[in-house]
Amino acid sequence: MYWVQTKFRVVMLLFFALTSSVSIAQVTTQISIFPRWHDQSLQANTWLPLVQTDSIQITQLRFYVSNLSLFYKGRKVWSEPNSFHLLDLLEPSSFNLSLQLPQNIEYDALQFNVGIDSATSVSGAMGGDLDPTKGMYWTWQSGYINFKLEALTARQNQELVYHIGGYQAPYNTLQEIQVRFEPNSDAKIYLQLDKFFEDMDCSKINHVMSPNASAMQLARLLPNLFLIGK
Amino acid sequence: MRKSKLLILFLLGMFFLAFQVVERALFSVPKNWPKPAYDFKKNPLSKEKILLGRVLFYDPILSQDNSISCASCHSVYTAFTHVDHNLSHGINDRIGTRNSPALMNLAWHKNFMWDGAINHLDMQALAPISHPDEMGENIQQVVEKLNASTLYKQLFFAAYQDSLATGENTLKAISQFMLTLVSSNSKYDSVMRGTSKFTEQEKSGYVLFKKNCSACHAEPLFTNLEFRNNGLPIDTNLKDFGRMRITQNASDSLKFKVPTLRNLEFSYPYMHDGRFKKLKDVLYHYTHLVQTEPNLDKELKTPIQLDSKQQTDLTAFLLTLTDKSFLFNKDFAYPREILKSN
Repeated sequence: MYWVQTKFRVVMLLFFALTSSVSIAQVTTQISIFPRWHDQSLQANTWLPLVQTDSIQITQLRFYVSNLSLFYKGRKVWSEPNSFHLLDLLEPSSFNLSLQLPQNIEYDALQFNVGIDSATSVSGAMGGDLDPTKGMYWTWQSGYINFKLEALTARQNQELVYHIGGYQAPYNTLQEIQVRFEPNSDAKIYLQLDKFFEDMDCSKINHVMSPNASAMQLARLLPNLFLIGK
Repeated sequence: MRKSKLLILFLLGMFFLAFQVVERALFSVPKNWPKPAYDFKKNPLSKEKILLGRVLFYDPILSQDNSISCASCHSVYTAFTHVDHNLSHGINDRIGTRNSPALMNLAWHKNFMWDGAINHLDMQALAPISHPDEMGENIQQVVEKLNASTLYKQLFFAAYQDSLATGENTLKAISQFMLTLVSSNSKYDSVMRGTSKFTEQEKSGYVLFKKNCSACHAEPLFTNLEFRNNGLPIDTNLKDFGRMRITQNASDSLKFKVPTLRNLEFSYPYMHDGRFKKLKDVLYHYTHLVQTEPNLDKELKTPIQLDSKQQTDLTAFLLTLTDKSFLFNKDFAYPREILKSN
């Protein structure tokens, strides 16, 4: 009887030793997204050149980055648990994502979603960055705003309001983004916001505030905005 | 000797009292009812959270000018709807476009509102709080007001062991109270449980109900929880196309959520815009006025035929869906002891 207990103790000790060593071997890695306008860093509430003839001021840029995962040679090697981040241009620190990675992990690509997936969208009230007090939840029709961009144009003196959301087909606006980089280099990702206005005529599409065909069209522009930084 | 007898009696008394407390579950699924849609694991009920939710439900603090509470349009005595108002009223006497639905058995619903715009009970309260014709407020502001209130600091602490109100905790507490609004003790229910009997008239009405109504108003919830076009002509002022606004699919034009018939004796007026004041107007619609639109519900393609005796019998059955123990449940009433000054 006694040796059974001892054996059990040894097993338990081994178990604790193993699990604690696993939890120690975590490193914090910083992945940063740099909002840009052409070759400059993007500033809110300042006039920026738009196409050839107009200027634009970005008054609000807020969006969700979720389901972060890392890949190595095409295989998923890590995914962040409970992965929801609200990025806000007016709170620059929100663009630095601190990831708790296992030590010695090798990766050459980062994948994430811009927006909130449909399962989470139908799961009721949630806290943290998903709390509806963050102003990223529609009240008249359930669902998160995945990507919120508000701006003003100078010449046309037009207000631009793009609240891109929708989690159900045919207007599921969630976008999957993948960026590749040199293995284990510091991941520096540019969000090239000027590209958003390149393929879209903002004098024609200026207000999008519900899940519809225009929201879908704008959502499809989003993957092209994320580039690996130099 | 007498002392020890008293002690035993006292202990026995405590024992039974303790049992009774344990037995009064905060929520239970009535016998033979389906499994609720609400995931209670994500928001486990507690007495303190339900109380917090009940206080929030009755407190006009949720509205922009502190004048309108949930209960303003969802009164307990009328099965949690706004009696004698065809359209809901909001702050500054503004009028909405829909009839406030009766609130009961919400744990079984997957979506909410006449058009299913809301996908979860937790998120439902956001809509009336934010709507300019209803409470005209926003949840950020509500949470700020709650955090400035001594009363709510205490209630939040009791509920969550944290006095700080958040959007999540506020909405989940309101859900908790709404989840307890279960109506399952009408005469119909006791007949189904075998403890009561229908009259001849009610029995005949039940047969007619099953033949003509239960495809949509399915037992035991008396709604199949689906969206249907029931042939109402469109109100040209309100121009409300119902479910189509949400799905943007033409085949959902003029579809509205099938309402429960439980407690309908008290939940008038009827239909999404409250256009019918009396039950007999509703029956007249289904027997004479159904519009044959392209996506009219298939159940209504052949008109329902009921002579006047049959209509009386059907009505007698429908009145067996009144649940007095629900309508006069003290646990659902205005929390006078807490909101005394309002």
